[in-house]
Amino acid sequence: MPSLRDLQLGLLDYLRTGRPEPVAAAVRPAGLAPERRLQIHRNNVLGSLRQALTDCFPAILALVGDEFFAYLAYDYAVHHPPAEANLNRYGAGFPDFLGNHARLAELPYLRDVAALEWARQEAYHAADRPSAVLGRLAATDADRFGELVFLLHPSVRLLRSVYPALRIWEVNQPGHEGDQAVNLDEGPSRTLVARLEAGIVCVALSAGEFLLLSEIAAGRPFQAASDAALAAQPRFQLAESLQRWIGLGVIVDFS
Amino acid sequence: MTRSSAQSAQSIPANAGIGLRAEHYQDVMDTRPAVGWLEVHSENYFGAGGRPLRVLERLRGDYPLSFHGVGLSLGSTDPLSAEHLRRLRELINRFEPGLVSEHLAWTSAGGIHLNDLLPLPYTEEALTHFVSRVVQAQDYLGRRLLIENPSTYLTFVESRIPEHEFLIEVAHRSGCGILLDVNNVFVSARNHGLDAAAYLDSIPAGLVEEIHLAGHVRNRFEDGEILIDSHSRPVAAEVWRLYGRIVTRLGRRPTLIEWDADLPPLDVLVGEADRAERILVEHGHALAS
Repeated sequence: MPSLRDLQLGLLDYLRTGRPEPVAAAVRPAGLAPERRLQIHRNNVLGSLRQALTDCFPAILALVGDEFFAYLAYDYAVHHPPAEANLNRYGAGFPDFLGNHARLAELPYLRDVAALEWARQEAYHAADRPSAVLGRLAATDADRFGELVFLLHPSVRLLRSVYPALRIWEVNQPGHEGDQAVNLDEGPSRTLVARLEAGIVCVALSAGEFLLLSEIAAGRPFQAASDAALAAQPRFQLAESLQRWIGLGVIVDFS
Repeated sequence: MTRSSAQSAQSIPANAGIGLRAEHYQDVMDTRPAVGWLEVHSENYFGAGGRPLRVLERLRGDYPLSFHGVGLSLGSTDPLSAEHLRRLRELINRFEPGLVSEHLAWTSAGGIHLNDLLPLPYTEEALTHFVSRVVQAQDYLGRRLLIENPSTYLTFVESRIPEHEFLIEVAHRSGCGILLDVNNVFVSARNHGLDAAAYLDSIPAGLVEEIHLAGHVRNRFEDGEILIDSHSRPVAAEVWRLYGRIVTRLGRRPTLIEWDADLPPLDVLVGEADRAERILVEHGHALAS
């Protein structure tokens, strides 16, 4: 008689491989065959994992189609099964999985589109942080602004792609009307993903904005962050940008 | 060993409640349906922030809350996840749910989580193991747990103890309570040629602290058929009858309508809860034990 642990590892093995032996021998053969009974569990596991990815990556689904997405979901489940019970984290590895997949070499932009969708998922569950910045700034000497290390809302993600990933994502949203064609040579995209008052947003950023926010995210004081932004984009409107991010709740505090 | 349940902000009344699903968040907040309480899947609130937690904060003032876990994997031979327990305890301390429950099942092995409630062999080894896990979890959480009977699609050759006896013994040895899922009893009984009514009749009244009602689907094959606990349909007529039977014997118990997939509009869910409530009113006269 197998130990409880052996039985569980055996059933796990079946769920991953679909091979009923040897665990089927431990299943009572009454009425429906053991293989059929085991199959129920395999369908449940693979079905729910596929659903988790479908919920998280609708643009990828639109881009590759139902059948190929089902294959990718199956492949991902078998090679990257969940390491924790909280399924909200399951898709974290999916963007890189797509980027490294042997059968997706012709669709090199998938990884970055999936990264956008994953960033939205992370933003949805990120910690709350109300903005304290306006009041505090009003009480701060203007000549100290350069030293300030601003803090971004915990949901903020900054993504860069050599492909027009944001545009590809947009045209593959359910309900998108109009032209779905995107010229892959449109150029790189820089995107802010965040959870704001209005909900999850994906905002296209200029080179300067991207650099400003990235430097701030890395903990650089405002002077250094501004210098970097202006170096990348000499006509970058610094004051306007700062106001925008504070107003939207992307910048929430400073130290 | 037992712990008395922490006195919670709002204990769960012996009325019908519904599962709170993300798809219904806005409707529930806008319409505040007249149900007795709300139950949520604990793991869905493990995030650091955002809409789910905010909705729960808004609703806790109006509804007693029950936390139903699906991922603690009490039956697994992997160590209990420290991170999972920690997060669950944080949530419990924050929201003070009236009931906290989990399953007679396992959902992980070898570090891999399988997002399906997998069956235990009903052996002495499994019983001893499961009891120790319930005790460990109750000690850590500072709460008594309810353990739910599973839907099963297979039985193991080595099982020696009938499931209802196994569950009752878990409750006696660990001090936990029982969450009696009438649909699961019906589904399992059909799948293994057992007597659902006899199973239900065998559970001591004092152990049952919550009842679940849900829908199922039927899969037909050449060599037979099997019922699947899909939580995707209205409660079946036979399950309503069994519910009436158990309420007549037990008296009133908090009863949850569990509908997790192919979700109907909120008012359909509330309609199911209303039906359960009518049965509680009509049949739930037995004195509390």
